[in-house]
Amino acid sequence: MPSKKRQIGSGKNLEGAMPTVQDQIEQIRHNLQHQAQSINLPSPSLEKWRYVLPSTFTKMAEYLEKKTSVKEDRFVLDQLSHDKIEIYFDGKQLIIPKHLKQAGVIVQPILSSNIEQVKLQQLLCYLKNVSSSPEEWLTRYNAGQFVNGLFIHVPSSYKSDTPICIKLSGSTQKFQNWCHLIDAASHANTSILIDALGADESWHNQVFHYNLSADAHLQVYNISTGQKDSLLTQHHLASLEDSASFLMSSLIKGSGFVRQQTTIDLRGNHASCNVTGMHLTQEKQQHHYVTTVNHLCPNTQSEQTFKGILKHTHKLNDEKIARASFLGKIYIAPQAIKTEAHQSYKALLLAPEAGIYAKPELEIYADDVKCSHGTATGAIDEDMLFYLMSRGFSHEMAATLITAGFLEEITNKIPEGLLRQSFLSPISL
Amino acid sequence: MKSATNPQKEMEKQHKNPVENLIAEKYKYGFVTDIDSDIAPKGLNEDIVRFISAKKNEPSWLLSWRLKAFRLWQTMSEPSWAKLNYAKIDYQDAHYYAAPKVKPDIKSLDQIDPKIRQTYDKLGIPLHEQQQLAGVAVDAVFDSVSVATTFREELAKAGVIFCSISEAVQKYSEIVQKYLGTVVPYSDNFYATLNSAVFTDGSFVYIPPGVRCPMELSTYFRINAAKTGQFERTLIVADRNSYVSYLEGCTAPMRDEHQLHAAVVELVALDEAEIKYSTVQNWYPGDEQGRGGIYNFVTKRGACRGFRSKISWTQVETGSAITWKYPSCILQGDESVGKFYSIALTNHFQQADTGTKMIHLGKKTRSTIISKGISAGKAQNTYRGLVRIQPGADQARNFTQCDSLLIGNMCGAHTIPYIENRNKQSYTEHEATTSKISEEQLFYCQQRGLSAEDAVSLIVNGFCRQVLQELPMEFAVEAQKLLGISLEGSVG
Amino acid sequence: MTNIVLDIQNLHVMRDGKKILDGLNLSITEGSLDAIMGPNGSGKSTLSYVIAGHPNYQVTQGTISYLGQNLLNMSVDERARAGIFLGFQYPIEIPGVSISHFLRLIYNSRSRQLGEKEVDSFTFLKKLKELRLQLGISEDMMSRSLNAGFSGGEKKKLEMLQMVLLRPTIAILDEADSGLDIDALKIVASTINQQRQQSKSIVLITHYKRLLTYTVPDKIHIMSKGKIVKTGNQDLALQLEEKGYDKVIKAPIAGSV
Repeated sequence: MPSKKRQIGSGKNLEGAMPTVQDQIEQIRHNLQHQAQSINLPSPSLEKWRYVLPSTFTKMAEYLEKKTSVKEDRFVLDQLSHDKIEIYFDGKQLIIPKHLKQAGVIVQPILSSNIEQVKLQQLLCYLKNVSSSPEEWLTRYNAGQFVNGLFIHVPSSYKSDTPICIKLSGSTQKFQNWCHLIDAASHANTSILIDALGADESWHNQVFHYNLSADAHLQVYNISTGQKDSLLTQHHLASLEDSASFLMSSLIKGSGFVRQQTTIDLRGNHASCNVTGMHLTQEKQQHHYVTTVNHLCPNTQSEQTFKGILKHTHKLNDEKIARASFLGKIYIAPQAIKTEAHQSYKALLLAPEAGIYAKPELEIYADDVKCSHGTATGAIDEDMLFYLMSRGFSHEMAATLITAGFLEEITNKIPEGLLRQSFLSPISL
Repeated sequence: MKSATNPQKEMEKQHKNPVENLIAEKYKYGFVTDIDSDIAPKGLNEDIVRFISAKKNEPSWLLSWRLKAFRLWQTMSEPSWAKLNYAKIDYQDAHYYAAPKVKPDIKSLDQIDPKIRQTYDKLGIPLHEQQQLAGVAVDAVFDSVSVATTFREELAKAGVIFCSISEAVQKYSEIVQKYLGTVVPYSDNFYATLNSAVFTDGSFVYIPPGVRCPMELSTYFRINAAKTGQFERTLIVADRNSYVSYLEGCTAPMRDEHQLHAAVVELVALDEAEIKYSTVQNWYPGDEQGRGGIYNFVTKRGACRGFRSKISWTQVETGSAITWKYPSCILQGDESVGKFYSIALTNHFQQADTGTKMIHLGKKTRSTIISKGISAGKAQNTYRGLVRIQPGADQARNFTQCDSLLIGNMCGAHTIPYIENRNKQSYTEHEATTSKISEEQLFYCQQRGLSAEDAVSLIVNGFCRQVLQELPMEFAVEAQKLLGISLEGSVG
Repeated sequence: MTNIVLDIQNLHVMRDGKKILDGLNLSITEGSLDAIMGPNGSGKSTLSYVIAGHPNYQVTQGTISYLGQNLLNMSVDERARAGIFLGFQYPIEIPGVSISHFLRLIYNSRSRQLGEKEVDSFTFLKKLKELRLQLGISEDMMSRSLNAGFSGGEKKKLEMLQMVLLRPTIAILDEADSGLDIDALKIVASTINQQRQQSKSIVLITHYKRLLTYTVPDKIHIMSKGKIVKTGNQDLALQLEEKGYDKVIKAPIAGSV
């Protein structure tokens, strides 16, 4: 079930006066922190974690133990352009690229003291939502524990092809919780490129919350290229008003363990989303996509297209085998008539013993809808290989060509230019 | 269905929403036969298990198997993962044994209790006609004990054993002991474990090597006595290079209280053997308000043990208030084949959570899944399936197609497939669609003179064609009618 | 004395709150062949849907009487069984429903109405074969799903086959000639002429005069903005071909009868 907005239940003020927004935020976070102590970590018995290897949970528990509370998080914010400006943030004030500032784009640390009331309201609203969805443990944990994050506001007037780029680089901390709120006003149109660079022996738990007002258009390009012993868990939550459109394109290549969860609520008429993703999984990596699109209004549209490749794995014991999973879900509420939703996951299995797991799920309560889903898993087509090799390509080169072609359906949707370069450069097949 | 209302109003109603105007149709087969049952006291404990075993004069190995199951069952809890909502079942508030008074020692049909025969007649399955016209041998199960088995001689000539499982336990103890519980172990799941402890009767089939069973074998199940849980246990073994087609069909009388049914069916196919298992399930689904109806928690599983063995499950599920059923195939033998064809139709407050599991273990194993779900009224219809390809199953293939049809906007259709591929030479493919009967399709058929109801029935039958054509001829006709009956009144 | 089969008076029709037919008058007599022509959006197809009783159109004013009965009180299937046939411009696909099965169903349902005996599948197949050959429809098509994956020409021929089987009193054929090659066009035309000989009424809704050279209508009606604005003979079609709709519609009473 999709989460619903709820009225304030906590944050009572003893004097009887209305608690300030700040107080309410503190109160909710306090409650969440308190609850976190009594809740266990996710486990394979949870449906949305069913294909995660048991050793991962042990590792998570270790990180949880070692958690420190030093604020050393570091963001790099830059505008992808020829005159690249990099701004560093070390728990201090953030300097925003000039032209972004001029265009009215606001970028602030989420917990800074001079944040506007309106933004605080949004944060409060987000926290309330999270605390009412009990099954998303990591997201709840994050909401209680996050030490920082970015608040980005894209104003109505802002329309740009050049993406705002956020690099989330590592710090000395083992277990980091960041929370980012991204807010696109009516008619805004922009792209954001997120690059999550996890350092070895660290666990990054990140939440991104996107709020799209009517007619807002937001494209998010998300890359995870962490080091091979890093853990990365992300939850992208998007809420869309009338005629808003959201595109999310992600590439998982790095890290030892990545779990990217995306939850999209289509709350307005004619809202639409397009979620695509690729995973390139090898050795003992684990890459997991969990995607839910909730159609809550009539005339909404969604498209989920995921592709993955599993290769170069060596068998040591069962735990060391590359595995990838896709748990996708389309939910269509009774009122969401004239809805169209499609979902597809295709994976190429290039290595023996590697495992692909898919669960493309439909939950439909309205009859006037068009829905479909499909999955296909399997090896490279032998006939294709033979054909290319007969033209003189080596086996490896032929396989590379076919693999690139396999991913083409997703890669060709990435806009030309720097974005494409940045996004696709990690793919070196 | 024409009502006596003003035709113009009715037409307006029809024009407003031709597909959604759902009116209830009374269950045609709702009646109760009055017959004194030899009933065990209510409740479930070790004594009851011993009572059942003693009543059936069972060998000690079976009693100890039952007791093991019962002890395990006491530690188990009901599964809750299915998309089903129902009142908690009180397992102590039921009788676990009931037998009709007539002794099951019958040579001719005339000896059957006339009331039972009347019941069958009302159901439209007169035994003698079935035998003469269709050449079908019928092992009719009334309550929990078989009362009639026919065509024994002809089957015996071919060496085919077709009898009640109680009889098989007495006469063919070694075969039963060798296979019972090897496909669905007593520890398998809550319902199967319960069944292992208290099963009362069911069918047993053994096809010897190289024999093609000369006729389609058929069992009609009936649930009768009030508050009698029905725990059927069926075991079919097809020895090397043999073939059998088995038909199972059921209806149940109208009842206010929910009735529990937890059957277990085990199929074993050895080298190059083929088993075709077809079901038309038409148990009382409850009334328009969702009162009453059968709870159907069935464990059906087939093991393709042999090289090139084949098992196919075909089911048409239109009845029961709750259906929890996943006929599955374990493809152990190299080049073995598993198939699952299913139509699940839910109307009013019915809930169905059904699908299959295809476990590929052997090399070059193949599986096909075709599922058609139809949901109307306030019903919920879920396809839940698992396709698992294990590392050793080189060049295995699966194809799955799941289509859902929704009639009206109060119902739900859900598809939950699990696909697990761990072999790089193997392929899986899954497709699913959801649609409704479009107003244009309905208009087109009506323009050619078909009533709205006939048009819906026609379109639904077309939607199900891929599955219907898998059924044996006479069964397919029955199934088509059933689809029409089940949807009757669903259009204004 | 010719009998009036269908009589439409002052018909006003809305769809989704939009007015489409605006006071249309039209009478069709027994055994006549009428052609309705008009530019896109003039309401031709709407008229055919309203006669057949499509639920999405609301009759706000006016009457349609069919053989003296109030047609507007009848449901879609009642009208069809009573002998009104609509040949669809875009026949609807129904997956999984075999054509031969469908044809027998509709044939028998009309037979019941006509007080004739229903036929078994053997007799029906014999009859079907005859008609099939006349229309140049191949046998393998009969086992395929209704209209699913058919070419435009195949669909139109199948509509003709259904018309013949249903033995209608009046057939309204919406763009029966679109997407047909010359051979198929001739077959369609000769089927229409045969119906006419059996004193069935036919209404052709068409864009071009292509079909009209093979089957000459008694009357040609020109429709514009939801009304019949002109009625004439074959000459009117020629004028349209030469001058286009705009000029002919605006011209003062030319070629009217």
